[in-house]
Amino acid sequence: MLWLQLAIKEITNNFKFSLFFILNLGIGLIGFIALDSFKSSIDEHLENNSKSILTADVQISSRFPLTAQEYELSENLLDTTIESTSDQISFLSMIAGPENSRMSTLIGIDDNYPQYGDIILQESGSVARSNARAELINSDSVWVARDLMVILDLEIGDRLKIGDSEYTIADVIMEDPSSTISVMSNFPAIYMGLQQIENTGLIQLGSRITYSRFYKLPTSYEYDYRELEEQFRDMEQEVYRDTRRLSMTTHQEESEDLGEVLGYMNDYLGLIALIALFLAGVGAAYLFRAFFTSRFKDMAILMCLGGTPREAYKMTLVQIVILGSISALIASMIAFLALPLLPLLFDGFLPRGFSNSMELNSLVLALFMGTVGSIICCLPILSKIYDLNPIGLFHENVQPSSSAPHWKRHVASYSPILITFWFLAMWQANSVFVGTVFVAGFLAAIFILGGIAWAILYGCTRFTAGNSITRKIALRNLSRNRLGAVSCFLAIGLGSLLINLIPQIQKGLQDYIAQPSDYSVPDFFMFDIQPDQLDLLQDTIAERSYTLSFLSPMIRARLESVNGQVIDDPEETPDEQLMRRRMMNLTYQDVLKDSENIVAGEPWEGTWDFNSDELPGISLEENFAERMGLGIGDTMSFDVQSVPIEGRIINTRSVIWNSFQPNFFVSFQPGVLDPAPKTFVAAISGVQETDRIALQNSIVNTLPNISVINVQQIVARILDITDQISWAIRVMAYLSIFAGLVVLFSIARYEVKSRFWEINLLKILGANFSDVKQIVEIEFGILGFFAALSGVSLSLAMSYGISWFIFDGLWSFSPGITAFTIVAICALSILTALIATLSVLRQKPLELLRTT
Amino acid sequence: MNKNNFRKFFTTAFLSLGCLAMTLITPSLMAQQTPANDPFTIVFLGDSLTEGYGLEEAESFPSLVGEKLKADNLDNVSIINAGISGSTSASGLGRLQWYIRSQPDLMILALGANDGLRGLSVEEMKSNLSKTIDYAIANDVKVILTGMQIPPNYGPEYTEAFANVFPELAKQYDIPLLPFLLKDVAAIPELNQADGIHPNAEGTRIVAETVYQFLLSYLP
Repeated sequence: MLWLQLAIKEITNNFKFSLFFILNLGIGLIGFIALDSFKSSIDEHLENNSKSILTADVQISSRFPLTAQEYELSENLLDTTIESTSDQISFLSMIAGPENSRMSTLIGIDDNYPQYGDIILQESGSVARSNARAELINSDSVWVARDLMVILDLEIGDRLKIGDSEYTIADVIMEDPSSTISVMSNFPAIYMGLQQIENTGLIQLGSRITYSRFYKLPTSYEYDYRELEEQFRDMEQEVYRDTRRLSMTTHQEESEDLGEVLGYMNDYLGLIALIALFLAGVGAAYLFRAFFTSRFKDMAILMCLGGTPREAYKMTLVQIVILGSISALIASMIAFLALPLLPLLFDGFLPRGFSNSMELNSLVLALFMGTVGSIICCLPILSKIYDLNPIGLFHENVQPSSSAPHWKRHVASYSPILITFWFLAMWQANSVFVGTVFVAGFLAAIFILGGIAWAILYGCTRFTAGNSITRKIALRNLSRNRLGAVSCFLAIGLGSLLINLIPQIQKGLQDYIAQPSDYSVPDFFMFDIQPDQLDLLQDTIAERSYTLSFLSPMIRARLESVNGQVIDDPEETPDEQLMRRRMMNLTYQDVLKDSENIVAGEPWEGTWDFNSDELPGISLEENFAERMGLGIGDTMSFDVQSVPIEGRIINTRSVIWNSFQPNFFVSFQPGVLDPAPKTFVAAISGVQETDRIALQNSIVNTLPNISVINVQQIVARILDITDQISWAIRVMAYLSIFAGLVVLFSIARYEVKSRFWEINLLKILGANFSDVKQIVEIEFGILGFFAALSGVSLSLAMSYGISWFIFDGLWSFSPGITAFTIVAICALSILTALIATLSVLRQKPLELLRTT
Repeated sequence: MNKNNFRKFFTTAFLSLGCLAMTLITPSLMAQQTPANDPFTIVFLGDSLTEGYGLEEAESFPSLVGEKLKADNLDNVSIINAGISGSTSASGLGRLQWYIRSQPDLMILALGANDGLRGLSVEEMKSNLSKTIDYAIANDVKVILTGMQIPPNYGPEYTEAFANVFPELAKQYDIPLLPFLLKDVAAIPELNQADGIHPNAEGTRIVAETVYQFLLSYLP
């Protein structure tokens, strides 16, 4: 156990190094734990959100009363214990008030509804925390949506005739989580007891009723909803053959619109966590390398006293494990204490609904990474013990033998880093492919940076001519000490790459998920506006000082053929067929909206000329074009209400869908579809809260056929979540940059320390303070600048690649950040080098000689 | 600027279609040379029920009616399916103005279901249908109106007022009324898609037969 004692003694004796090592690794691990916890917290938040929208985990519904056999089959398929169920009957009905009437959704509930989420009532408040539900179910009373109360001019306590019976309005629904389920069915809700809804007399032969059962399942229950739906479909087909009677909805499906964003975010955060940890690993390895080099002499003595390289190895290993464990424990402790404090510290700054708790998994992983990870990172340096020869003690400077280590040992010491990194990348990115590409990109970056460094340093020899002696020495230093300089270049370059990579991807992703501030979010969407109603509609809303925005024609057409080939593939599944031959909504526009950008091809010029030999131009949304396998030059033929119209794709465009502007997959050049029968969609923005219902009513009363959809509620919900994600991404990016800067400091410090002898020699030879300072400035200035430039350029290329692979081509260049990174890294390299040099310069040459 | 040109284009497009139809029917024309074999165009102005929502185009009821006409050697009759899912009666007039260029002889007006399902004003629907019928009559297009009913859960007053619109209009304009387009199909699960309102392929065949039998007596 001698080596264990020695290891502990070494740690206490080298307190400064130990502290640095722990701090450095600790920062990386705190970042990692924090990122992981954020990730889980957001995951959980979104999951709860989607559950509260569906009010359950799974819903089974049918147009016919659900039978015992259907329940049994569905429950067998879920294959888990069912915590609770809630039954519901719902249908639309025309409800009359004293003056007018309005189509409404009648919902019959039992005393388990809602199993997730809550309904907020005007008088009783939270349904979950009051006995309002029991009173509703056991009496002939109803709760009525606030909008409907206003529209029908109703008061609490009024009697409302529904079907054959009359009901008392007991309360007003202020918030109803399920109201966001169906965007298009904009019919206000009336809740009543399950028994009462059956007594309305409206459930008759021919009535369109939805019977549902909502299931609450254990939180541990995990499933792939697509797979579950497929199994459900198979089961249904087995029982009912071709007739589709049942439908199943899972909460995951409810949040499918957010699923894509969530998927991106998880992958992204996972990779950031990994980069933060990798940076910490690099920093720790550098610190260790500096420390290790200074301990060669002690080890050589140990070996002289009969120790074997194996024992020296063990001692160092134990030392690393102890330090790594302390780092992990400290990091976990800090994270454990700080994370729950975050919401208190940043009250108002943290997104709504955010609860941050420590994940046990993250802790275990941190501990593992702290111990095993630090060993793995230090392995290549540790392997040098085998090259250490006690005879070195008789040399002035103890160094491992300079003969190249056996390639097998090289492979053995570097491959664990690579393999661990690779596995972590695949795990964090949730994909073998993405993880592998990520690691391969990383390796490629190392090779490219190494090549650039070699070329630049080679070039330095050519510029040594001239009068300035300091410049000459600096350039020759770089050129002669090429191996050391390359590793320094590589480290700074890699650091810059990682530091710049994060904000680079962050920007692209944030642009995608966050609500762009320069778009006004519409309050209302309107559909089914007839061309001859436009003037009247405009007048109606102008009366209340609002204007129509994003007015777009919408023409219904059926896609007939692509490049002259009729779409008819017998191999396609019915769903695919439906997608391909579906009726499409086309539009035409002369200029792009501000939420659109051409990504390939050219914009069209003006209106299509009927006499031209060219086909009219078509612009496709880029993802749609990809799904359909179409590109520029392809032709598409539509049956536009019995008239064949053919066009050629001349450009594809990106659409910022979350600008909440009406956008279309297929847009025609003006001049082709103009006379076709069409309706318009439009939006109204900037409507005052107090004006909403009145404005909606005046449109509906003047032009009843126009569907007016209040999108504020839906938009608010999506924005809430995207805000949260953007926030987390920003915080994580800063954390990683901070970890990167710490690494950069460690690297520069190590490199200067390794120049110890040279600087000393210069001083002995009579160089003054400013000469040495200048040499260091030039050396690290050149290294820092070129390494940062190369690293940042590579990061741009890599971020583009990553965006293309993972984030569906979302990439945007942020010149400000890029320039800042280069300047900052260059300045930091010089500054760090100077700080490290300063301590050497302040000492007298004789003292230096003594210390060595 | 090129408005006239577009009109020209669409007129040409329709004329070309017409020419194609002419080429197809020319041999029979030459053989018989009777007025009864003059080209006769029927436009089915409707919604998703007419469009054949969820079905192949060839499975929609206007297409099936077209096939039946062919099978009965009524080759001179051509069909235009002018059904658009989700359309309400408000779109009737504007769309008819588009199809009038193809000079239809008969319009089967099958709009209104979406007005009912969306709970729109019955008076408004009646007025929209009236305008469409007025325009057809003014352009020498004969009209067959198809009646529609909405499910009883919409409430007795509304369902009754809604169903009455069609016979009232038929009486007012003295036009034939097919009392209920979804006769023998509505509310029968086996004949409808999962949504319970759109007929499946089998249901649509019954609708086509109902329409065809009614239509026969109004063909030249």
